[in-house]
Amino acid sequence: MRALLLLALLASACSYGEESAQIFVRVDNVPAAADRLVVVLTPSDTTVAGKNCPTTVTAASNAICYQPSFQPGALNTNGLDLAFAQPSAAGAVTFDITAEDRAQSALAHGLLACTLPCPLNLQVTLH
Amino acid sequence: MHARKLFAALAMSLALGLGASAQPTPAPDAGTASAAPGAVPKKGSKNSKKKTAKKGKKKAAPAPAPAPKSDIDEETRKALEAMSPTPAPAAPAAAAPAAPAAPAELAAGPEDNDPPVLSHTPATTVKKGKAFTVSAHATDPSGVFGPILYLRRKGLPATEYIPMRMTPARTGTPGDYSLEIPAALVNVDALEYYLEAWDNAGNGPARAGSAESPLALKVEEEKKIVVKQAEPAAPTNVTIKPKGAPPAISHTAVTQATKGQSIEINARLVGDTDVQGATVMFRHPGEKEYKALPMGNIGGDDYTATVPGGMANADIEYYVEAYDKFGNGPGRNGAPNAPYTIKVLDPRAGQPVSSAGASTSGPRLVKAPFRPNPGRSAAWLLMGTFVGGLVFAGGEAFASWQQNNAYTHTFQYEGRRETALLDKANLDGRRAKTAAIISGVSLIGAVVLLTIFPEHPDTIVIGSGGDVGVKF
Repeated sequence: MRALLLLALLASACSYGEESAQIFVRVDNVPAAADRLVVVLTPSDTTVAGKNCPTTVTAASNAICYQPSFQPGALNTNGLDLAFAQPSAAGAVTFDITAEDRAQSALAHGLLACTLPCPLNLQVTLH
Repeated sequence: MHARKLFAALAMSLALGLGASAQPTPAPDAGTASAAPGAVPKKGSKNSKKKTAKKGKKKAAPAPAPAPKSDIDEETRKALEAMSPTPAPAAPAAAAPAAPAAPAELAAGPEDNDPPVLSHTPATTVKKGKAFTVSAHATDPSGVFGPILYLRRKGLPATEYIPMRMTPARTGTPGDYSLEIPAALVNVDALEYYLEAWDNAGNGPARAGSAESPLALKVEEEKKIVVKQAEPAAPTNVTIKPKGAPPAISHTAVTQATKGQSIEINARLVGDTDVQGATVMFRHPGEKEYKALPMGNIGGDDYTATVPGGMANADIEYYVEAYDKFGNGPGRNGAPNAPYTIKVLDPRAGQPVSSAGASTSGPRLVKAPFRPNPGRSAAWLLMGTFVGGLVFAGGEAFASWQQNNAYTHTFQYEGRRETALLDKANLDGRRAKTAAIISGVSLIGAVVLLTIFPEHPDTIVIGSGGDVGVKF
């Protein structure tokens, strides 16, 4: 019986669903020397709980931080596709994107804002 | 012809023998007034003259004796003539003491020209092979000569009559004559006879029947009276056992057993009238009484009984007995005074438990030789599959979990949706499922096979008298 229960547990545990993303952002002109991006998503809704923001990043308390990393120069066409869950049902949201190298020096920067719900595909070019 | 002569000779010899014994000397005939035939022709008398003249005429035919035939052999004829009372004029007075009175009587009486009066009740049937007696009554004032009975086998010619002289009956009644026909003459199908009688004056014959029309005498087979024996009534207090026989018992004796272990005793009991009360009677040596251990039928004619292990603490004597359903028996294999003996041995030391002495050949526990058990091997193979499948499924499940974690982490911390990670996670997940299913099925199969094919024992007992089967 225990074996059957284990098998049932395994069966139920081995199927995973896709993460739900409502906001898709195309980041272009990522410097070749960069090995990561620091994305700070700040909603206008202050009730949203902020998360994932390191102490080295100055961000509001309701800001949600993302730090996609990659091999320097390995990005295809120097662009990177990002996907985010909608932080709140309504309001506006701003995206502050910074490209850094291994020494955590800022190489390029970009800024994007939209009103929720945001358009399906957004695009930002770093400078 | 030869048969007839033989028949005649036999009859005559028998008749002569009987006549000789019954009438050794010619005596005056009963019912006859005269003393003797020899006294009849007395001279000097008128009557006697006439008589004499008649007699003389008659004497031309020598005797009143029968002789109606000429085929009788000479010896028989002589015998008949010897029997015939030939008138003897010179008969001595001493031989016939009453002779002198006769002439006076005859002289005083009327002239006798009449034949004797002969009366005879014919016999009609006789028993074959049994002697029988012919009776007749004849009287005549001059005395009766004879009577003569002429007997022949029916169907033979008239010349084959056998003359036999009748003798005065033993009843003593005057005029009664009888003749016993010997049994030897009665072994034919039918007889014919007639009687002739003469008087002593030569008158006659008076006849009963005649040569031409004899009296028939039917010879009957003696009826055998079969007396049927009444079946003896069964005594009321006696139990009558129906037919049947006790069962035949075939049994291979058990000679050794292990101390403390039960002893199985098998026998084959075959009975035409069923088997009942099959029993093993056993005891320990030195005991007087046997204990009864009922045997049970284990199919067909095979019966078995098990001596409890508790009783197998010393040697055992036993025999097998059984009855049929009618109580016939007991049929036995072994006997109370000649039972089989089971040596009860200690398996560990290999020593007999009884006081009969040490032995080195007792039952021993040894490692069992290898015997393939394919069913159980397959079971363990499936069990291995189960374990391997389980491990594989676990690994795949872990990998799938890891992939999913990476996918989730990437999405939540890097803002990227790495679907490749998700696909990898789900692929590993499917592998884990498949392996888990195979593993489960293997587990079930293994359990079933392990149940069906039990494990062979690691050790066996050898040297216990043949009642433990070991296959090598």
